[in-house]
Amino acid sequence: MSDGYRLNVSEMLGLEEVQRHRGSQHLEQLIVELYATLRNPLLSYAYQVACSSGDAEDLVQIAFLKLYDQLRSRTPIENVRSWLYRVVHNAAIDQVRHHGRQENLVEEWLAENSARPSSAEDDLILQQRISHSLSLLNERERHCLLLRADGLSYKEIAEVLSISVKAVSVYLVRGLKKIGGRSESRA
Amino acid sequence: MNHVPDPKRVLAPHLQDHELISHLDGELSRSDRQRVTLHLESCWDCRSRLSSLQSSIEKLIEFRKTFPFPSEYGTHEMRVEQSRSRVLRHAVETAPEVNWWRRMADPVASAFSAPVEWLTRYRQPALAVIVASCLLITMFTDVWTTRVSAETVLVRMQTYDSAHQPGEGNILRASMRVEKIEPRRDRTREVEKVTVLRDSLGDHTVVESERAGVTNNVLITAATAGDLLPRAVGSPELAVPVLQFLASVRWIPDLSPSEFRKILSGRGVDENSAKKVAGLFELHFPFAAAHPSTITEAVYVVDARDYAPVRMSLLTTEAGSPVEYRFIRSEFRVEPRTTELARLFSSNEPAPRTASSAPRSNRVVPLTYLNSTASEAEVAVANVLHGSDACLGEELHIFPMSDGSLLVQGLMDSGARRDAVRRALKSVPGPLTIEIYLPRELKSGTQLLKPPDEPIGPDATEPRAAIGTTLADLSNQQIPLHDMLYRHFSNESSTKEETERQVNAFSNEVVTLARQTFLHAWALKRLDREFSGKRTSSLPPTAAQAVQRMREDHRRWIATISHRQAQTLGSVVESSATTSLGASVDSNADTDTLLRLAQEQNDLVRTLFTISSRPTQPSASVTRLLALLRQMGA
Repeated sequence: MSDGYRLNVSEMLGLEEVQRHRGSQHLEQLIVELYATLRNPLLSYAYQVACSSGDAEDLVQIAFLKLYDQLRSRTPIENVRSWLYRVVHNAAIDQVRHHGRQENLVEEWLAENSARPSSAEDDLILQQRISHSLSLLNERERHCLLLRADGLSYKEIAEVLSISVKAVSVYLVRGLKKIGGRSESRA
Repeated sequence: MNHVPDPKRVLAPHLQDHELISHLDGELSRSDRQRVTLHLESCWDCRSRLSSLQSSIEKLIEFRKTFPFPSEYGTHEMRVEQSRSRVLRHAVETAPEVNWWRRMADPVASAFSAPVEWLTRYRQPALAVIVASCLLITMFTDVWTTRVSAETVLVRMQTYDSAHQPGEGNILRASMRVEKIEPRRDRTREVEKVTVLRDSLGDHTVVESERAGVTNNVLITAATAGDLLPRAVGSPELAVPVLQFLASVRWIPDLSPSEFRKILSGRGVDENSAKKVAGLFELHFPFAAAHPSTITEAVYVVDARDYAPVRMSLLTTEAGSPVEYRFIRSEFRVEPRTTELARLFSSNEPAPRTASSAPRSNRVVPLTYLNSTASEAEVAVANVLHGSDACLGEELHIFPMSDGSLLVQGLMDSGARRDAVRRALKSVPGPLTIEIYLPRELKSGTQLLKPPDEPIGPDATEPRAAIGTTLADLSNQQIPLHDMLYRHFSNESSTKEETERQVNAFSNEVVTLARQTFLHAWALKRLDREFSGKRTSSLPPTAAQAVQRMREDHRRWIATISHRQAQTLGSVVESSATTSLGASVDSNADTDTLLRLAQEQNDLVRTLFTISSRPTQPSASVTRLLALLRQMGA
């Protein structure tokens, strides 16, 4: 227990049971339940990778349809979460390649939100500073940081991005250094 | 070689960046972890680098948490619903079609492959045989085409007819296809399919018509035939005057000569003619000029070998152009009078002929479980609903109807799911009407029938109330067990936000599983009601086994899910709940006990893991919950 209880969604939902007992009959329902659980982090990830608001939801839903196909064809999936992230990641990257990236997304959001009276001054400054730092990140660093922030382990991140575990840690440090860069120079 | 220093002897160098981050994230191997911890204790430089990384991480998390979704993404619930229909549509569109096609195609392909192969191999001899036989047929039919008396044919047909009446314990099944032919537009359309079941006992006849996929069942007698014919053969394609005429002669939609004579009796003239063409007698009976039915002629086609009716045509004109209604016999056989078939005839007549007016017995009404028995068809329908999980959380009921047919009626929450269920129900043979509504389709005029059984209990009547419960979300409110779960999920490598996320995901799972358990127990209870010992006593063993299988499915799911949930909860929740409520529920535990347990655990889970309410003593509730789950999850 001390190394932390990793939430194994596929185990908790009993996907193995499903495959054993009833083939694909119960699968639809489980897929939807899994979607309800993992939609928010996946959507947010897809949104920030692809940066085009219209299609992120679609990417995520299609990923779940693929998951359905995969499980129905009885192809085992070792880790459902990283599998889903990988499918979403690849689709989002494809979309960026085809349609280009909406670079000023963060700034746009900040511009919208600065008008809100509820948004405190301090928060805004922090946001601006971080968004500035984020724009310094390269793609790999950004992806690693986002996935880590979603609670994926290094091994899972490595699976999603098809890189080595060590590379994950290297990208993470580089990214974090860029984010922390300004405060360090001030100190 | 001597120049290379032994790494173990050298003063440990500073830690590398990736080692620091791995340490923060708890990703180091055991040996590395010891080394890094030791080094950090003694090295101020690495400690400061570590803390600067730590602060960057906090910044990132802060940013990540406040970064919102765009508003056009809609509510979570809405999207989950959308995803549900999408997954189900996908499921329907992909797998079953392929399987269905394969199943259909395989026997067809194998049946055809042999003769086709034979033909291609011996093409010339085969062609010669075909040509020769065609020649022979044309030569001889010329010789055979003689004028015969139509009346003689009809008389001989009656002999055939009486020889084919159902004997004791049998039922005669005669089906025909109704086609509307418009020669000028060169158009032929199938209007409907009508099956007539004649009982050996009494003069009752069941007319089953199938039109556009909908099956309609009407029990008629010789006396009520006229009034009920439009219901039995009620296609809008059939011209009204024609239908009125058929009703006025009390025609029962059957190709038998006795029924055909009824048509002849009303035609107003006596002329007739007959000829023999290619092994068939064609009998022509013209109608009186300007007959009110608009029919100009009735044609009866009979097999010349055994005098079996083949088809009947009514020729008429509509808007100046000729139209032919053709009734073609597609099936004619005698089959055993099984209990289900018998019910088609008997259920309608609880007190025969006592009431002065016949129409009373013709109203088709739903029966309750108390005054009906289960049929094989009912088991088959239940099995299909079970197979598509429509027995869980859906408000569908199978109504045994007074005419022996079945009605599946109720509410479902998504159109795609409804389509899937309808599709699945197509595989069930026998008369079945499907009326499934979506909540938005329920207008004031639509009447949902009262369930065929008494409500199971005041609390359990609405299993779907549980579905709408607010699950734990990222709002400020906390679920009662929040602190306990948070303590469990947090460790030195995980951030606050990550831990919160795990707590939420965990709570959602527990709530979902608890609901599942409850729905299975609920479905089990409903099965007990519908297929009680009294209603199933006359079922054949296979149907009884099917019911038993459904029950076992539900029990297995209850046990599996509860067991899993007890394990999951037990590993997370700090509780001394090692005591059990008693012996675990054995596989034959009565359904009421199971339902009660399942409902209690569902309620407890909802109190503990959702923000909807706040229990007074969470730890006592947890203890109770674990005990319940262990009891069910044997």
